[in-house]
Amino acid sequence: MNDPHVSRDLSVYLDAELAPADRARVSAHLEDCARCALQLAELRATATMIAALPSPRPSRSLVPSLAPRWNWLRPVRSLSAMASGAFLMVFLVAAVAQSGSDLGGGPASPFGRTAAQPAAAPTAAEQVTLEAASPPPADVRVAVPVATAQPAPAAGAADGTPAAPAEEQETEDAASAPEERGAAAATAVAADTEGVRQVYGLGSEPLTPLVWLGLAALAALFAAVAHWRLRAA
Amino acid sequence: MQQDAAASAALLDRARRGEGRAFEDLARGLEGPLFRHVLRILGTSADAEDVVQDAMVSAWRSMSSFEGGSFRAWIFRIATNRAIDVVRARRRRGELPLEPPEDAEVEWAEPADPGLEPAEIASQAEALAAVEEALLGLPAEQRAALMLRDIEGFSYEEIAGITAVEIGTVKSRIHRGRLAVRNVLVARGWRSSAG
Repeated sequence: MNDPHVSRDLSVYLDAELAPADRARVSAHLEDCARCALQLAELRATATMIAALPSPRPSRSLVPSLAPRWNWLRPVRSLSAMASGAFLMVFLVAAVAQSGSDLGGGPASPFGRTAAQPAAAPTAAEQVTLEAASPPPADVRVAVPVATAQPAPAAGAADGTPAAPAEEQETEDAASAPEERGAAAATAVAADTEGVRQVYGLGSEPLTPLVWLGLAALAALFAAVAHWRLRAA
Repeated sequence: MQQDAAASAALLDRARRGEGRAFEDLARGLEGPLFRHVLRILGTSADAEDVVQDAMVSAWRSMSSFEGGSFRAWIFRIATNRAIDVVRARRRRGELPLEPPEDAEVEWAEPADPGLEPAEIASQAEALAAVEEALLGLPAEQRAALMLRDIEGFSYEEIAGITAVEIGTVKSRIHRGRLAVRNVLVARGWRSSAG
């Protein structure tokens, strides 16, 4: 009560939080009191040391993820998934069309020819051989012109060769009725195949089905990566 | 400085309108200070990280109730309250020893021997470790008030708002806390050069 010192006010004084009148009173006392001046110095040094403590950092980010950073990937994911499906469909159509044209003893490759080797170019007099299914005289082969149903100007025309109807050629004399039916069926398949190609834009230089399959896989990969990134975000 | 204040005000305005990215930017600037503050209240990094993260999520969810003023003081209030709640819960479970009464009188301890000057002490890791140890010996509320002042630089009025007590209580906590830390240092043989 009768303590003349200002020890209790020193921290508030140090922090400049005293009212002006109290501040003037403490300042006046400090000029004459060595003990209070020493205590003030010690408090100031203590505060300085507390302020000098190191600042540890957290081991991980503590800020919640609120902003949808990867939103732009959503349309990419959807478009990629749709593109994958579309490419897969085109792949199937192309594969069916290709295999249809290769019925019965075509080239060994499952998807036959490449764009540089058009399957249906009629001017090249390319012939697709059909092995008669029944009865199977193994050595009987009938050559069927591919483009008799729908001749189209193509590679042959491009290099100046007139587009002539493919000539029918018998490689072996086999005029039995089942063989004729087989030949007719092969002709129909070839005609259908050509129609499909035109409908789907495969035209005279179709991409191989493998290309469509690759595009489908690529689009599916894009969709999967976008999906994974969106989930991770 | 004014540009920083204007940018912070713009971020705060966007965050209050529900823009998550703006809140993230605000919170990122306070992540370090909040963590060191809560760490010194709790003493363990893992708990401090959890409390700060919870406080940030809580602040984001409560942005609509933020009435303006200092966003920094507001989020410090949330984090400080959570940290002190954790300390009290630990104490109830007996995981922490009982603290000394907050209103216990703290006397000015006399130095045993002449020692190093405070300026020299501050440059020594050993002295800083002694300060850390002394802080951990304070009641959690006192420790929080002292750090809010000496480390984070809040005014007494802001500290009163953060800790939800009267300014008189803040003055008392800060003074007693500083004096207790000073006494620990003096007990280690350090004294002011003026002595």
